[in-house]
Amino acid sequence: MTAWAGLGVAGLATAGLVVLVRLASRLAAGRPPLTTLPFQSGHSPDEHALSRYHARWYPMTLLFLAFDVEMLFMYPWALVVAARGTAAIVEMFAFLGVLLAGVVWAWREGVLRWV
Amino acid sequence: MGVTGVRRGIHVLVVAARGGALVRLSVERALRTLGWVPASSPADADLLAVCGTPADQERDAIEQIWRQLPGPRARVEVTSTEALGELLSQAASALEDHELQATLAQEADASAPMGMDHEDMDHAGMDHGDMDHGDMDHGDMDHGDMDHGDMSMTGPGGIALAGSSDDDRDGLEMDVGHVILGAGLPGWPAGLVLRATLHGDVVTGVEVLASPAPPSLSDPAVRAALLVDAAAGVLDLAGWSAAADSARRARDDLMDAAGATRIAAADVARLTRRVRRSVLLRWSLEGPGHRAPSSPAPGSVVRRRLIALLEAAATTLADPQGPAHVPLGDDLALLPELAEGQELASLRLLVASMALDAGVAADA
Amino acid sequence: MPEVTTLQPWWAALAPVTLLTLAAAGAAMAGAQTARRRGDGPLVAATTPLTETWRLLRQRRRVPVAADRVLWHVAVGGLPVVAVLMAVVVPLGSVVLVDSPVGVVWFNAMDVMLWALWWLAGWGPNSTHSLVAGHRFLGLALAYELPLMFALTSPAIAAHSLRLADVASAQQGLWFAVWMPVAFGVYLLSAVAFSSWGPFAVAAHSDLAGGVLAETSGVDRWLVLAGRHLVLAAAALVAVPLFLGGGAGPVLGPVAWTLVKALVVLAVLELSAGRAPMIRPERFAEVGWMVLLPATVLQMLVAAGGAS
Repeated sequence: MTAWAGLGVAGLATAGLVVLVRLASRLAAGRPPLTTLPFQSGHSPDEHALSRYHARWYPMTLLFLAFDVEMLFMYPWALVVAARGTAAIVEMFAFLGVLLAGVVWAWREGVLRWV
Repeated sequence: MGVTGVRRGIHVLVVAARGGALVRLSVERALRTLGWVPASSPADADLLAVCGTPADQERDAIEQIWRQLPGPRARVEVTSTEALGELLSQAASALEDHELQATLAQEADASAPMGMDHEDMDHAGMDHGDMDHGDMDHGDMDHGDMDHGDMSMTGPGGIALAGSSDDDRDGLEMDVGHVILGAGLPGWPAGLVLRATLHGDVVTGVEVLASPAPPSLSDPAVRAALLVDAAAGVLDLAGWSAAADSARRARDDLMDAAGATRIAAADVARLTRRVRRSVLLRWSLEGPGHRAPSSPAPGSVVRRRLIALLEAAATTLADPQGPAHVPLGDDLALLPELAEGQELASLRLLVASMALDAGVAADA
Repeated sequence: MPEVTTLQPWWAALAPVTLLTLAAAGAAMAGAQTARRRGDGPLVAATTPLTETWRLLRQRRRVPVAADRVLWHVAVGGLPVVAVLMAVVVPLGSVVLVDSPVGVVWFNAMDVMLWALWWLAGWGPNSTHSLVAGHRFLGLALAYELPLMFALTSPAIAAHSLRLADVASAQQGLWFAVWMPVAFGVYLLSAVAFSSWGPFAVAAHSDLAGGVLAETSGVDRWLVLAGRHLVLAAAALVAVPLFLGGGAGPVLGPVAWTLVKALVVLAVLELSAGRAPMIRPERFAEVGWMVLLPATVLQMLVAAGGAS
């Protein structure tokens, strides 16, 4: 566990520095934040920007998810592939081949284009 | 410029009023000499530089932009190039004037929208008619009634929540947004105001609220400078700032003196070759070639226009007596059609490529 | 296992300042390049990070109406934190702050954190421009992340370990950058992309009025801009054990070599700014999935073949 303690210290130290910089800037600026309207070239917004946003690359996220779950196997496999030899390589690349076939199918379906 | 001892690195939001394109060129050249930096939005700016004389509606917009500068802040209104250096160095000292900045900050807070739910959210009970500070005289300000149209004042901060539309392209129940594009955007033509309807980042409609008034020009060097300036704007929005900076250097040379014209012409020719040859630019704007263009793809329109702008500048310089016609046409009318279905950023590129600041030649 | 001593945890408190120094060098390089293009002198260029810091720390913060303050704070402050956490697993000579047995995976986890941070930086201000830019970053991230993961796995396969010190010492004969050029290239490209920098600056570009920076001023802006250079610096540091043989090298000590190599990588990353038109997500998606992904998978096959 002590091996990881450094992570906590580094994270907290950085967060602490962020707070310090904020305090220093608050003193240097001498004023609380200015409340403004969002920038729309000097016009008032018709509605709030935060909304149900149509992300047109959404199908790509599903494709990504399939591959991303695969990465769970990838890292442990990377450690044992040398010991297990050719069989492990064949198995993993057959699996990757299946996934890549899926990518090609998705590409043909137009998942990677949205403009 | 000869201004020494003035702080460098001041970020300046350059806002050109309708018809103020030429003044903007002078201001931008002055900024480069001073080592000041163009800002990408009010949040980025220390100084607001208004170029030209704004009309009443423009004044309202400029006042609101001014209220959005975080501070320390200063503003200048430049109507002619005379004493520009003086004006800018006064603005620089205004930024260091603590008393003035305290007053300005109070003004900004007094006029800040505080989440009030009344009709005139950012105008009620506020007096900012007297913001005269230092030597920066910006005349009197007229706050006409802002038109809030059919907004329903129900959401937080007096701003409505986005509503959904039935005509979403993919049949989803998503919200529709609107954005006003106008003064203060980088590379935006003077006087143009658009209202875009957005599904996510897709533009589904464009309404022209105000059109620019292009200058009528006779001096070929100035005409070429405006064309190169428009090209620089496109290159900047396309992300190729190295090429944009080359273009701006050539533009500044053209605006400088007649002697530099020949050097600038060579620079423009070199830049044109660089732009035309760039495979990455073609790909970035047009996409891969295998896509069958069913309609004029806006990306290829942008690239074609960009090259045409640079070529027109070169032609104008090579033959000052020649036909002063720049083949740009009545592009603004085409904009809504071209913009529909494009991304917000692509709309910006399209508008920039129209070179609306470059105007029509005197005899065209 | 190579001998690497883990320093006492409190030494890690020095990590942010150390990385900030490296990031400042990077920012100065980028500033020098911009200044040269604009025709400013070298002195101005070198001091740009300092003058910008002073300018921004004195500037007021601004908060748009009904902004999501909490998430915005998370995004703005999160960038430097994630950058430092990325860098602490890198061995400096014979010492390391955090001797993680899964350092490669840790780096991967931190780079995915950046998805959330850039998007939140777009969401926070309640502004159309920044919101569009935040979503645009995600579109890009979906295309670079998988090639990056395979590029990270290749050195680990060759070294039979996910520990960065092991990966570094496995390159005694030949740097992985040399016999895994595809993985190294994809790594550099992804580093630029997850920092939203150079040709991949989709989250913060003038075509959306500054994108996630459209409403950001004062110390918030400083934290985002500095955070971006910190992430670039962290990515440059991690590249050293992954691809460039760690601290190995003649004459100079391993600490010096690590820093020299990191500075060279950092220069490559920083100086990519402005050289080419922006690579938009809708263009890059096909390249990422149809070219880079198969290429990195093949690269991994080569690495696996060499390792077994």
